[in-house]
Amino acid sequence: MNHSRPRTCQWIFFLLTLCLLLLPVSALQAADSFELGNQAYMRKDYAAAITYYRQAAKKRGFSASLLYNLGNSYARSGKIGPAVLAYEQALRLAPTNPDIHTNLESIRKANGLYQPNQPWWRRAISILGADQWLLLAGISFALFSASLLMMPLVRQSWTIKGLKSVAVITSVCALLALPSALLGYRHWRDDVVLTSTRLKISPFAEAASTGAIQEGRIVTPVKTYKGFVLVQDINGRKGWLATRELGLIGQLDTGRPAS
Amino acid sequence: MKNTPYYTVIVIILSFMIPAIIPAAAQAGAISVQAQLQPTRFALDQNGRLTVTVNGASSAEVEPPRGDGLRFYSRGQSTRMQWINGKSSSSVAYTYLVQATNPGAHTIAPIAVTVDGKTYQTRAIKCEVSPAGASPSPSPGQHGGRAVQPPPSSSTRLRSGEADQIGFMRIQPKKENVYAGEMIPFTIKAYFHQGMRVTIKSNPRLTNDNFIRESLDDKPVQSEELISGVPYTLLTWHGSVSAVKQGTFPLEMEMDTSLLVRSRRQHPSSMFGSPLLNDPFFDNFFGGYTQKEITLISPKKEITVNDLPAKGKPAEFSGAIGSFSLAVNARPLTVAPGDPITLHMIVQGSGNFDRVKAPIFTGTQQGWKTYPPSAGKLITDKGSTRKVFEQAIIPTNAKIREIPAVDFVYFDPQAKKYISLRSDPIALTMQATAGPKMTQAQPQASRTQPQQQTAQRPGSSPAVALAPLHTRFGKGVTTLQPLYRALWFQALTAIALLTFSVALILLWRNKKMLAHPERIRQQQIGREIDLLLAQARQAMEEKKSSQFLKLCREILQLRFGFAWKVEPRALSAADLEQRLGKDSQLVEILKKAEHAAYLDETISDQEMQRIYRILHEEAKG
Repeated sequence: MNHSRPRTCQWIFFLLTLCLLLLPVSALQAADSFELGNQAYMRKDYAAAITYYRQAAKKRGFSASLLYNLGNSYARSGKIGPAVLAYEQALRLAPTNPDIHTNLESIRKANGLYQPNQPWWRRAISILGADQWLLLAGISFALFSASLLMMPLVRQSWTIKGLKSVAVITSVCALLALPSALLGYRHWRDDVVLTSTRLKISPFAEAASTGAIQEGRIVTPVKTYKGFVLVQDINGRKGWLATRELGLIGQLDTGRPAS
Repeated sequence: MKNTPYYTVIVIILSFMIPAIIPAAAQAGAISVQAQLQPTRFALDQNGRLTVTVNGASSAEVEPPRGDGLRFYSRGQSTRMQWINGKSSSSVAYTYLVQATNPGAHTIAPIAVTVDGKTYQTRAIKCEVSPAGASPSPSPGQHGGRAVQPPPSSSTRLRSGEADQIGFMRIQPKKENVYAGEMIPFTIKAYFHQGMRVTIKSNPRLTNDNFIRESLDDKPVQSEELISGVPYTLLTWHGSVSAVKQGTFPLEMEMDTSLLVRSRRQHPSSMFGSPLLNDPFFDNFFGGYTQKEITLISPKKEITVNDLPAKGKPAEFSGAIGSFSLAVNARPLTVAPGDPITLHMIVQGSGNFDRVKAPIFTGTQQGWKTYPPSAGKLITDKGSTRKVFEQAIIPTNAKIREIPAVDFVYFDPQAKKYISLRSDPIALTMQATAGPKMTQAQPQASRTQPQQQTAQRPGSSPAVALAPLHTRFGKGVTTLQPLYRALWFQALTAIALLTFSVALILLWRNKKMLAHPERIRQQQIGREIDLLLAQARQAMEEKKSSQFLKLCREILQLRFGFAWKVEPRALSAADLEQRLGKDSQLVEILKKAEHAAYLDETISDQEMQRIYRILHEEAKG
């Protein structure tokens, strides 16, 4: 009877050690795939690079760097739609990364994917991502609430003045950051056109076309119907596209699920 | 004498009436009669209106009118009386419908009118009756089931049969000989009798599919138009159609309307002359309104549609028919090989813009890479229409010095030939190759990372300067969920909201307290008494009776000083006794405390405990 406890402890110790040993191995494998992807890219074997990057993603998930490298590989392969999709997804994880912004703009410029001129306030909002604006709004609101809470509890006039200043600054921050976050989230579920195709007037394969749409264009989904999505592009044009022709920015790897 | 005011009033009234009555009586003798026929020319299937007017009398006996080949139907009489500046006048008019039995010249014989036993005669009236259908000027007015001829005062004429309708519609195409696909501008006019309450239930629509409606005003323009002297409410639309195929087709449009029309009373005896019942006044009283659903259909207009000539048809022709001009500009004009240029192509003019496609860029074989042009944006501004196309073009070598021309082909229906427009080439300033841009594109943040050369694989996308690869994997995620779905952020928000609520409650409570300073003072006194009680207990435990009594005195002074709003230190046992009475234990305690303060008396432990108990109860009570 007295021997059972030490034996259990031994087993637990063994399992913990095994886990600790296996975790780095798994991470190492993922890192290896990522490194292999980089090496393949250097050899200009972009198809192999894409495969390695996807293997790494299966093991450790997608990181901003992985998506960025994936975007580069697609861009070098001439697959503009998937490249734009990967860059846009990378920007969701690292909205201020200059490499991602630079390459995305280069790809767009080289392929005629011009963006409409944005007003100054839209450009100002795009400095940060929607998540970052929301985080700023949340922290500002928390500080604002804390300063309000402390006001009735303190007696010194200079402390009250300081708290009032904090409350004003944080409330302004929250009021500016929250609409910026909401504007950013409006485009959270946007799609990227993966291959150049034609917009259809109705959600059927044989439906007439309303015009061509270029790969890499960002479109906003309006509604879905039996494997088709009604989308609207930046110029306000609307039309139906098959779901397989679109990549959902807010969804990693698998693209839009079949509806 | 009692009736004096009464007579005075009568005299005053008579004095005002007599001057008015005397001229009226004097004028009674000035009687004149007059007969008038309108119009004096009408068709056999139409009628005229004869009016016999007797001026200077309110009633008269009128002999029925007579005339060879003419029939007369009485339509009643109307009387008019006027008082103007004390002068009265009266007249009575008798109205008849006049119909002819045969065409030709007819004469209405003089009509005898007897007024107060004296007979007057009108003059004979001549009229001319044309054969049935010869006169295209019926009146829309309906009396006794027939149309009344109005004075021919307008150049617009209704077609035969239209007068029987409540409203009618016309379509006026601007062209009747067109080409397939050519725009045919048209005007639709819908006429309704004034006074009708019209509800348009649908826009005008084509009755057949030989034409395609290209455009139509959303709302018609409302106006009034006088047709044959009768006012009509006119609704006008402008639009255009295009013919689908070659042939001759009727252009016809229809429109659903709902009319609220006055239902007219029928007078079976109208022919036999009951002037009272024939008076339209009774229609106003007894006539109702009925809603009538009608579909107005325009008369057919034959349109001849020709096929476009096959001879000389350019391969670039995309179906544009009309009259167009072409303008082209490009930005930027200083570029390096590989830099994209946006070509703006503007097609302006009139014609079927839906078939106007983007002009064709001719530089495809001259070292230019092109992307498909945009679908075109139609802009209508101040009466002019233009379609703007954009196309991205990229020069692929440094020898290029100009942007080649673009071609646009259309068919001119006026000239009946194909017109090919070609823009002028645009001068271009070419910079050095895009090589250095590779280094310029390297962002600041990536300089710390190991530089890895990227190269273009043959056959892949254009040479684009890309920032180098990232070598660190970073933190991996499996989903791209927005921050507001993260549990920790939701918890942070909840805590912040809770803090905010508590802060609001505290601030509200603080504000409320500030409004009542007595409460604050009361709480303060309570806290001070609690503190003194604690010190008294400690003194009691340490058996320091003089200290204990001193504290008891302070407690009582504080307690009752606040209650009675006097200075606590000034409160004595005598004041307490005066207010609480001699038997109060508190008075006794304060006396002991005062004695102890002056005489340095001591008390036993039991006494201290008793006093403490009493004070504690008093403080907490």
